[in-house]
Amino acid sequence: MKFSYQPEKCIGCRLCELACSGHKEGQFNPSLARLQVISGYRSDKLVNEARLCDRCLKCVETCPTGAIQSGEQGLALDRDQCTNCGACVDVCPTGVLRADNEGFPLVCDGCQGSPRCVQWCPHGALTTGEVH
Amino acid sequence: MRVAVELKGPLAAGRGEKQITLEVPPRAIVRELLAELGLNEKHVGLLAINSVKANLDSHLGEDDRLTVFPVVAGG
Amino acid sequence: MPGYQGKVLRVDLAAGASAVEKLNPDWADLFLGGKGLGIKYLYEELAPGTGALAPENKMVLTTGPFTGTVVPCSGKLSIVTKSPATGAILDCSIGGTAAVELKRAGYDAVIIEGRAAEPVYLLIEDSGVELRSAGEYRGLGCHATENKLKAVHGAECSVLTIGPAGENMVSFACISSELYRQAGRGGVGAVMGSKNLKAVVVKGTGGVFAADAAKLMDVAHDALKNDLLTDTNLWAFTDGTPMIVELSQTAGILPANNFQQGTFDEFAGIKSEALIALRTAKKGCTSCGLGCGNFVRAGRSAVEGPEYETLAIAGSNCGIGSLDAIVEFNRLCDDLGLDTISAGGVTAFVMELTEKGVHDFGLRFGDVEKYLQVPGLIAAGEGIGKELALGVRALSGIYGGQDCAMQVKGLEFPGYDPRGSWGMGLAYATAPRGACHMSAWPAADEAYGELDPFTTEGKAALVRDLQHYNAAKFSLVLCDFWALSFDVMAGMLTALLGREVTAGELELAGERIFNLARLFNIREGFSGQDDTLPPRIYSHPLPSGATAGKTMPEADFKNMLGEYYSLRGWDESGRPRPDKLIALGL
Repeated sequence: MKFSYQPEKCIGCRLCELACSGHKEGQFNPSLARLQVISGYRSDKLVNEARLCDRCLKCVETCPTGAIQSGEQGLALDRDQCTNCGACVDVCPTGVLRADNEGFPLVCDGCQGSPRCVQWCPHGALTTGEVH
Repeated sequence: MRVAVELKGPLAAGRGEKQITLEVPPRAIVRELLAELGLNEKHVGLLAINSVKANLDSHLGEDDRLTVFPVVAGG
Repeated sequence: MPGYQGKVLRVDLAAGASAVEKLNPDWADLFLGGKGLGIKYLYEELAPGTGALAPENKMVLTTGPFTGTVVPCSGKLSIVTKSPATGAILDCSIGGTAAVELKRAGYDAVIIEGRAAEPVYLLIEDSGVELRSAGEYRGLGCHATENKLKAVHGAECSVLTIGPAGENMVSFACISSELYRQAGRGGVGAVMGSKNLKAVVVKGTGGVFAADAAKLMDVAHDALKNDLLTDTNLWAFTDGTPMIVELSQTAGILPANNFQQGTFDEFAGIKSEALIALRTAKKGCTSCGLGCGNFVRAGRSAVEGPEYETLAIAGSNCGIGSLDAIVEFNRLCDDLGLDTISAGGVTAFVMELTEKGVHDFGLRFGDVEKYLQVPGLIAAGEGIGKELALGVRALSGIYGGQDCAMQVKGLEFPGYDPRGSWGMGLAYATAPRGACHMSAWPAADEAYGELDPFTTEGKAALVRDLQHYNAAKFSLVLCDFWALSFDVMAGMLTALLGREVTAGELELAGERIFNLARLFNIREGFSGQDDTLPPRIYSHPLPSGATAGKTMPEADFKNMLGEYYSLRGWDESGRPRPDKLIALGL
């Protein structure tokens, strides 16, 4: 499942990040979300950007222990195999992959097919596309 | 008789046109027209006929222009 | 404490020090947060008679339990202080990102006390709190200040700032954030300026916790889809507040030429369709599901706005029908840090004084060129700006024209003419901070709705109920534009806190908060005599449209006010009776 983001529909509410962290981490904290939305004024322009997992799978390839696996809906992390080496974060081309406070990467698992970010986006800026 | 209806704000969503021309029976009342258009009364706020404040029980005349505003909160 | 961080930051600008204290859980229960909590702090800690611009005044920034969670429309910050314009309690609300950043930094509220010896800014980065020199930002506009501070501290931080108007303590200076959002009214920016506090920069990386996050998400998602994102509220997304221009024009309550008229011939140039044609983006605050902000480019200026109040009070009320001009006036006010409502109100007032030959301020209705000079002159205290900075009430004391000084308690009128919405007149007269449309907004039911606007019947009860509703809502922190019921609020709060809260408790909290604000004002010397309207409303009939020939006679107003006091359990001078206070736990 891939996500697509249409910046012209984004109002910068960040409900996606709040819902993601709420669902995955049990707390409302955009720092722990599996996606990032940046919306703000640069000079006299309103700029909306999002970093999303686009399933390039570079993190999977790079992981030296096989801790990150790719499934049908998204990625999965086996914390027992993860050594917190950070190689996955370094290689992520969109820059969306970040580590939590303990060093474990916050991988996007697609919420078992019901992505919360998409469910919460109020004006359809975030949607799911086809799996490629 | 013919009346023109202008739907404001979200009431116009999904209709393509904000201005609609309708054929209605003589002395049609606003309430019936809104029902005909599939509008939920609870979403309807101010009504105006030819820019003059009207209400759900107002009668329409030939070539009248009905404006339908949504409810609004705040300011 | 689910929902709350349980911590309040207290900053002493004189000592250059700060300390963290516990949030009083009883206060959280009784006053919720936001507006209510801010009023409680001011009531408990501010000695009566304290000067609003004195170091002893306090400024309290408060979030609510919903802030920083997935509850939609909860990302606004309340700012409560004593107003330099009125001497009464002042509560404002600012959108953007600051409320959520502050909550994530770990604080439910920040109390700012004292006066710094030199211009400073307050930097809060999670538990790191510092006061830094703001010397290099002195005199800069809000936009330059915010952009520079974000360059230093990161684009993801939130900035609350004043401009030169606040530094010069203009009585209607505001606080700006995200360039185009304000805590607007009553001179809240002047209080910050009087403290030598140029800005507050906040960055928070923490989280906010619910008793049961999954349960809250269920309840809140249901509310998002089935309550918020419906045609009851989506006017804010499709049009934003400019929708109200044509509503007011139709109802005959659109202020024109200092409230001499209730209709404006050029209204079509400033209604929402005219704005939407120039709109390039929509914008919302953190957690907002609507996105009321309209980012617009007109002429040589870009602004997120103008909001209805600006289009009305700083537009039609000044005889200005050019959207380009209003956009520029709006941007100037946002950058200089001036409330557009009071700036427009004082401009319109002196336009009338000039035209009537009372005193020549060199300003006439519709004079775009002179109009656009006004914000700069006020902020700098130059030319006529020096006097305009005093506000309508003070100016009418000097030059006369009390009849047409459209203000209550020293706060200039917002954009709804009470002669076409009698309940609105009661709302203006009884709102704690002066002529205010945020305390209660009966215009929706009267001018734009089914209730007869030209009667007092039922209006006292209506205004009372709306005041309780808004008081509770703005304390949980929920945005004005979500017209949700007490039941929906209670459902979300119950899930958040993990204990049952009923709609009745919330309404009672609203009544408690409103009465506490009243007690603050009474202690400062206000009484029923101050719950009054300008004579123009009582005796000058509007000339055109749906309100042609209409006034609100003083006798009717007084009856309505008397009924209001009685329904509220207040005595004839508007003082809450002891049994009412006991019932409210005050």
